[in-house]
Amino acid sequence: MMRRLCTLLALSFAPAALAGWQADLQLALADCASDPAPCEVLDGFQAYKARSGDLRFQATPGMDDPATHPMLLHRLLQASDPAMRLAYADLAGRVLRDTDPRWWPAWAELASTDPDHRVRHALIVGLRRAPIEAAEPGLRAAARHPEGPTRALAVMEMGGHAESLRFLPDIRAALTDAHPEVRASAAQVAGWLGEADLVGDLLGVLDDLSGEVRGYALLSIHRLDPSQARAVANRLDGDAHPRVRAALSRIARDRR
Amino acid sequence: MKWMTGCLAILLVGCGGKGQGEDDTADDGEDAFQAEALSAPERVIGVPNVDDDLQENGIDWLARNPLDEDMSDLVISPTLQRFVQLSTWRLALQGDTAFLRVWLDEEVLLDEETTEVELPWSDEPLHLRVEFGNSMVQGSLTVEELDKGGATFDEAAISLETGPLLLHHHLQPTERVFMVGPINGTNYSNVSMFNYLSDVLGEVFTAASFWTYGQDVWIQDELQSAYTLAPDGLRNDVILDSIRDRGLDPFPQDALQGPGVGVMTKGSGWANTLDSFGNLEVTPPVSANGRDYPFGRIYYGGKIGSFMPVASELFEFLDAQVMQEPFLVDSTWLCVAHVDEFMTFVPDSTAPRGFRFLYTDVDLAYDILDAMPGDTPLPRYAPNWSHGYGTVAEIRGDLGMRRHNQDLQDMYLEPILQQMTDELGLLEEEIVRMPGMFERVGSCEGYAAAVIPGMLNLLVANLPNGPSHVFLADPFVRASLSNQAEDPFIAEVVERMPEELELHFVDDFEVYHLGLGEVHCGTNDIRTPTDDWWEHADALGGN
Repeated sequence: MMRRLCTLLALSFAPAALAGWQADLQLALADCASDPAPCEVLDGFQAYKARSGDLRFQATPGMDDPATHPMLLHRLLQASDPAMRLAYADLAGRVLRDTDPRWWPAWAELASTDPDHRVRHALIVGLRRAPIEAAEPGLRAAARHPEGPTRALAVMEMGGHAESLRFLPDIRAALTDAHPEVRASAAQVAGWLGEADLVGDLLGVLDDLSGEVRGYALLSIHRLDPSQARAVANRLDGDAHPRVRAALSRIARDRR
Repeated sequence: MKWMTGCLAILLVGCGGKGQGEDDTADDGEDAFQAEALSAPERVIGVPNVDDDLQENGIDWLARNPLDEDMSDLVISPTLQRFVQLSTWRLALQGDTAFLRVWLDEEVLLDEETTEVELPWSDEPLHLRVEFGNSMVQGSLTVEELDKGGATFDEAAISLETGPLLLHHHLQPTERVFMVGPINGTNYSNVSMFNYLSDVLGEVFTAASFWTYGQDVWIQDELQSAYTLAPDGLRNDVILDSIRDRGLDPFPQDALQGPGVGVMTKGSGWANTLDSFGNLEVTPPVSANGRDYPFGRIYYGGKIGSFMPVASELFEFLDAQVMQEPFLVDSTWLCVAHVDEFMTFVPDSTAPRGFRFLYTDVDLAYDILDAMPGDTPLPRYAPNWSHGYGTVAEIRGDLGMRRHNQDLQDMYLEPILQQMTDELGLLEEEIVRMPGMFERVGSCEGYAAAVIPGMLNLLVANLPNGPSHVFLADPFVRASLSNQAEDPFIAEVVERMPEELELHFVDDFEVYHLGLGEVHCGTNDIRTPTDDWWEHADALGGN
């Protein structure tokens, strides 16, 4: 109850010129006065330290109700403790696949704009299973982020999305990104798309400076066109990078 | 010169002392006299005195307690003869003197600072005690008998040794099992698993309080039990206390440290996940590449050049124990990055070397899913805060997850299996593939964790005079949560496991699985040593 009062008090001093999802959020939180139940669901949960050391909301019944999501979004925006912000983002990433479309722009925006890369990344991972209307703008924006690891993760989740073919041009472009992690992600997920057209692009990165890129490119060629992979495998025979060796082993296993 | 002195001693004893069969009673009016040469054992093997007999939360070695029971007796019998008057014992300590002490009565006679001492000679045996402060100590004590002129009459060299600190493996009998709980929170309960283990394990089972230990349930990660042995039944256990230092940090001192059990931390710094001891495991005894490992090999996860345990000192220490020669595997593709998440060993008396190596296979998991009716509800997986897969069709139809798992199998799991095969000389029949699969975790920047509760992340409890119990995570890949008989994952695992094991699929879902761990992560154990290291000198590299 106290938390709700504080929220309402804070909202009463909030700037009036908000628009879009931020304005929607204000309205949704104002509804807490008439229907407090969805706004208080989060109060019933405690974040525990997961084995990784990060705080995590584990079993949180009630959070599958989209009516609870504005409060989750609000908590994420208001929290200052990085560990709690990550816990909120992680939970958001898990539930946002069924969120009210009003909040898609919010999650999509935060996935590329939040100053904490771990918060961004939790949301990016969540967007993989979100409706394409949320995932497409969110992942595309994240794929343009100045930080390579954020771009790399966005490309990875594009490839894992149920409508991954929508991202084919982004993935193809990412093969020539300046950051090796991005190129490696692109090389990996290119093999997931089932588009033989990408083999030519992948052949072009078999000489990449990064062994991760070379290895995943070879594996992806194998997934898209096994005969082509067998034909080019000898180009990498002397490559000692573990990912290249693993890809070569995979090709050899199939050959047997 | 020593040779001449030795010959002289033999000559004098032989001439002047009583010869074999000579009758003492023939010397009327004289005391019975039995000539003897200087004698001392060639080798004194002890245990490091790192337990806490004084129960002061300290290491006994540092306490310099003359009454401590973890010292090794050393009796030196003097030369008994009648021709040369001996006047002085000279004792000299060499080798790892920082971890050696020689006591006479209640005084320290020799240590790091006093490495040589002279004592008045007497014809009574010299009763010394040797105290060791570490494992793998190599030293020697030279004992000389000097005559009145200061010349050496006879001498002996005694090797002073401790063996390696050895970590337990899964074939050894279980003495104690630890678990935090019971935890009976709303939507955060381990009561079912706690009671199950408690019932099956009986007095072997020990609970640690959830509230006392800062709500830290990951007891596998805080401590690793180890042991040191010496002849005559000497045993001191050592609890390695991780630098992880979360809520359970005081548990080893509170609950375990005492007589026969010491606690030590190796390394320092701001721990990362690789410093947890779910990332420190031991194989059963193996031979590989021309070398015997009668106590198994230590394996741990990390990746050189990118992500390694902070406590490098720990691994240097374990490496220096020689017998369980540690090796590194790449676990960095996992969120928690512990080696216990995807492979383990279980006993099997029908196997060539008494064990089977269980290894994760994602294709096997998908084979099972693909054979199930797609509309099978998965109530444990359905909520979005869980995994968000309401039916079998949904989980197997997530092609992004499937492709990711296939890549993990090809790029990491198969190469690691090959590495384990090479390092351990694994036979094909020793390797048992088990179903398992992973998802990308948001809070972990997309690194992998088990999506179906990781059944290889298990606890082996070999009860004395009883069967081997194996506790595994219930996978809950079924409609009815209470009916394990309808779970095809359980059926597959039962089919593949050694028949002699008693398998228990326990509910670890809320507290452990959703916290990115499983049964092994939430338990720990102490085991009984089963072999004597000094019988395997070759495994110490020829020492």
